[in-house]
Amino acid sequence: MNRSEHSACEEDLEALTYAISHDLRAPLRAISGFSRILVEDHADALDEEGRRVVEVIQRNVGKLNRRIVALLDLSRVGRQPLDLTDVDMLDAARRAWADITGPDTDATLSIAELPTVPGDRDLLVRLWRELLDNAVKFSDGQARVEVCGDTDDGHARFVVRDHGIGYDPQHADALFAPLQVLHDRSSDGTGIGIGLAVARRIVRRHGGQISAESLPEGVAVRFSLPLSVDVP
Amino acid sequence: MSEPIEILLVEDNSEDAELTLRALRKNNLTNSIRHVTDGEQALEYLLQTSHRPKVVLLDLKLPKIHGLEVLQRLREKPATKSLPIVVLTSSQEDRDLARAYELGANSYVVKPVEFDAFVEAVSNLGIYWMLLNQAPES
Repeated sequence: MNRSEHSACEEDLEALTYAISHDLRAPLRAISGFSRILVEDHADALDEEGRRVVEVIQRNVGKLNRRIVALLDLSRVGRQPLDLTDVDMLDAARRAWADITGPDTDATLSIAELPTVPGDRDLLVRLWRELLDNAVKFSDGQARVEVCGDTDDGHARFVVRDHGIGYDPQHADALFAPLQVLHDRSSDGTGIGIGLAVARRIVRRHGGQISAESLPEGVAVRFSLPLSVDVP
Repeated sequence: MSEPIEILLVEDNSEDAELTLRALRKNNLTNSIRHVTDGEQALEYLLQTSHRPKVVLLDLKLPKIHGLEVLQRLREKPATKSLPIVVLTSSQEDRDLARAYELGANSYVVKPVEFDAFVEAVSNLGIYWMLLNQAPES
C-alpha cells in the first residue's frame, strides 16, 4: 500500500469510527433515560433486586458512554486539519506538564533542551500531555519522568522515560491500540485506554513514528518527527 | 383556549422527544410546547404562526428538510430572522457547529447521553430561554 492509499484507508477508518460512535449515542441515551423512568415512575413495582438491576444498567451505560466519547475524541484528533507552525517542543512539553500535574505535585520532570519541529502546536501539546500523563499514572509513589530529544538524519527524536510499573512485553502490540487497558490506574477503575492511541495518531499525522520499550524499571516511549514539512 | 406555543421542539427521534418533554415537564414548562417531527413541519408551523415561540429547539438530522436548511430558510425571512433558535443535536462535528453559527443559530447544545446530564441540560435550556432571555418583538 502506498502512502496515499494508506492515508485514504485511514480516512475511511476515521469516518467509520465517527459514524459508529455517533450513531450509538441516541440508543444509549434511550437506555439511560428509560431505565431511569422505570425507577422514577414505577418504583412500587420494583423490589430491592429490581432496583439493583437498574443500577447495573445505568453503570454500564456510563461505561459505554465513556468509551464512545473516547473514540469520538480519537476520531477528531485524526481528522482535524493541521495548523502547521514551528513548535518549540521544550515549551510544548512544559506546558503539557503544567496541565497534568498542577502546582502541588510531587512528581518530577527532568528535561533538557528539545528541538523545534514543524507541526500543529495544539496537537503536539496534546501529544506531550498523553505521554507525560501516562508516565506519571503508571509510577508508584513519587513519579520521576525524564524527557530528552535530539535531531539526526532529518528527524527530531524524543524519549519519555518513567520508572513506573512497566508493562508485560508480550502485550506490546496492545499498548498503542484504542480501548486497551493493560493496568487500570485510574482512581475509580474507569481507565479506558485511549491516551497512547491518541499519541500515536498525532505522531503519525505528523509523518512520524512511535514505539515503546519495556525496561527493567519502567518504560521508554520513543517518537520521531520529520524536520521538514512533509505531512501526509 | 389553549396557551400560546412558547417552545417548538423539532425532533424526529420519538425517544429523544419523550425524554426532552419529560425534562421540561419537571420544570413545569410543558403546557406551551409543540412537537414536530421533521424539517418541513417546522417551517410550515413557524412561517404561518402569528405567535412566535420564545425558542425553537432544533435537531439537525431531520427527515425531509435537514435542520441546517431549516435554519437557513428561517433566517432568510424577516418574520423569523431574529427568532431564538437552539440547535439540540447528537452531532459533535466541528463543521456542523461552525455552520450552525454561520447560519445564525443562537446556541448549539450537544445532547448528553447520560440521563442526569440530559435532564440538566434541557432544564437549563428551558429555564434560560423561557424565563431569563429577552427576545426582540417579532
